[in-house]
Amino acid sequence: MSNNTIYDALIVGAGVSGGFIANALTEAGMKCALLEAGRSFPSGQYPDNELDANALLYWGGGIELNKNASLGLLRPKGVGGGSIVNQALVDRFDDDAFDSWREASGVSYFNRAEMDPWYDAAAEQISIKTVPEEYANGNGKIFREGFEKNGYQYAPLERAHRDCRFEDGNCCIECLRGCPIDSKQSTAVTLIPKARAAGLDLVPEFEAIHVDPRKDLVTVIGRGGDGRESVYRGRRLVLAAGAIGNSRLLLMSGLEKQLPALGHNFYTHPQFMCLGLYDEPVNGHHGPLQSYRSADPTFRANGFKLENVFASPVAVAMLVPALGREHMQRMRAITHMGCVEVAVRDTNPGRITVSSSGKPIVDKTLNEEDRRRRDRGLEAIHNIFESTGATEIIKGNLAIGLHLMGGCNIGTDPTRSVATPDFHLHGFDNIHVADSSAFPNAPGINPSFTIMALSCRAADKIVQGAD
Amino acid sequence: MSTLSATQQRGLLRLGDALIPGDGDMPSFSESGCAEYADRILVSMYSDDRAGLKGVLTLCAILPRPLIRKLFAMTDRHENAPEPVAGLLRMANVGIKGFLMTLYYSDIGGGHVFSKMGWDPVVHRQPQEPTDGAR
Ligand SMILES: Cc1cc2nc3c(=O)[nH]c(=O)nc-3n(C[C@H](O)[C@H](O)[C@H](O)COP(=O)(O)OP(=O)(O)OC[C@H]3O[C@@H](n4cnc5c(N)ncnc54)[C@H](O)[C@@H]3O)c2cc1C
Repeated sequence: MSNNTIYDALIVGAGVSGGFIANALTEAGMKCALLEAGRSFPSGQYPDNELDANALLYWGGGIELNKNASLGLLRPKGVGGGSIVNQALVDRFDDDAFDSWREASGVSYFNRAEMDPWYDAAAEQISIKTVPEEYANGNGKIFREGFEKNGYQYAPLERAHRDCRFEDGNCCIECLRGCPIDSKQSTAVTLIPKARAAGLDLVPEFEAIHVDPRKDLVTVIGRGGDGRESVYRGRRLVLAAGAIGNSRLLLMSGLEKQLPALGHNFYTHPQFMCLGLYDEPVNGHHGPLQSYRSADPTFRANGFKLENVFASPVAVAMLVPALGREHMQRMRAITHMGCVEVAVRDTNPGRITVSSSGKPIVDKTLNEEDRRRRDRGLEAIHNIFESTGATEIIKGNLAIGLHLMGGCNIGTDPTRSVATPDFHLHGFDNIHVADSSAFPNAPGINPSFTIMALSCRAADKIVQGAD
Repeated sequence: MSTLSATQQRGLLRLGDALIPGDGDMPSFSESGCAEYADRILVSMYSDDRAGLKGVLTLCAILPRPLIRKLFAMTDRHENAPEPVAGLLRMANVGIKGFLMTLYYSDIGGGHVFSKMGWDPVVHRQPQEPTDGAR
């Protein structure tokens, strides 16, 4: 791979959006380089313990905190990005989500009729299946029973996976460190290998630190794993470094004057995980990690959803209160714990800036409405645990943000948005974006399927523009 | 533990044992052998965060053990403090707890922590056919 090559497109970030766009552009005959800060892991060789997974698959050693340390941000890193570590749940947005996007952005194509073909195009590239209910573990059963007893509506889950072989006793909690059997449809096993076969240059361990946007040539300067700098050049640049990654890179490149909304409008769907203790074993770590989703219209109207999840021992240890022996005794009961979390559709936008050393600084808090949404969700979780016989309920008090969205929001107004409806930055025809950073606000629905759909649509625009 | 000085290494074991003293057959932090792996997290942290954590470990090497526990317990009660003090306490709490719990509950030091908790997830690793993009 020569740095002297002038690429048709440079793509920064090899996550969900980067994988989809790299493949579409390469298949259209464009010469592309996909630049990724994290490592590339060969099939089946993801870290086999949580310490290494946190260090290698996330920025900042596993977690980054917002300014007042009330929100932990999980920001994936590595070829495949979030699709390596995520739960791979794929949901199309409903009318409510698109209506609020249209209102916030002024972009008319944010509606189901115009977006459905792009969801379909994305779905053609990966395997999407319903999580089979018959393998639901104890935690799934608590969720279902709690919903039924309280009259809440739930539904099975659609997930981007091929065959997790639950009949063999496989446990998807292990796949939060990368799926060892390549069943999860991360871009690292789907789109990126396909694109490489078609001529894509993949450059792992290249952290882009500066972008120089000239009319006909974009230069990206980056740092390798050894700290040495190198340079890539291309006719256009696609930003796919995620919500924080894109804002950080453009801010470090001094573009905030030209893009006044840069780093603003940042959302996270703050999640609060709660544990319920049961006399009988729950074994929430067995089988599928999640089997159901909340589908209750009242929840949606109240701005939250509940997730049927479980967490690793490290995450549970962070949630469990107490110190010393008491903490350890509670940890021993991990197999007797049920777990449900509330994800808030947050209304209070945050702001991303960078420190002089390049560390992202995230100013993001819950406003009164967000706290109200959280509390309604916590109340529903309490009802679920109580009605299913939990002997104790532990409410998590640290919010976790893992749906990181915005910072380069799409919109028609260049003073209030960063990207145009045609997926290029206002004032920069040759810098494109369609990843999670482009979201105008928090949809309250899992984001990755819409990132895929937007990326398919953006790739089509880029290819048309290159003709 | 080469990123840490000898003093910081001592501080890590003292702080670790204050929070994770062992219980029945569950080893203490120092007995578990997990401290050996501290470098693997430290190198991936932002330099300011790493410097802050090293400062805490240096302090823990000299403070009396009961005081270490008391100070950490104070960070745990951040909810009672006004902002911005509460924010600083939360930051210390999540930073310290996150570091120690990641070391211990990753079960990589040979302490067999998982088997004592009944934590036994498995994935049988027969390879899959390459993805063909078919639904
Ligand atoms: C634990 C977890 C579970 C989740 N579960 C779900 C789920 O079930 N369903 C769902 O829809 N969503 C889920 N999400 C969220 C989802 O994974 C993200 O919304 C999605 O990955 C975002 O896609 P993206 O393309 O915007 O960025 P990413 O997929 O995050 O990719 C961005 C990539 O850019 C790289 N990068 C950043 N900065 C630079 C730089 N300067 N130079 C080079 N490379 C850089 C990063 O290392 C990363 O690999 C989950 C997230 C997490 C963390």
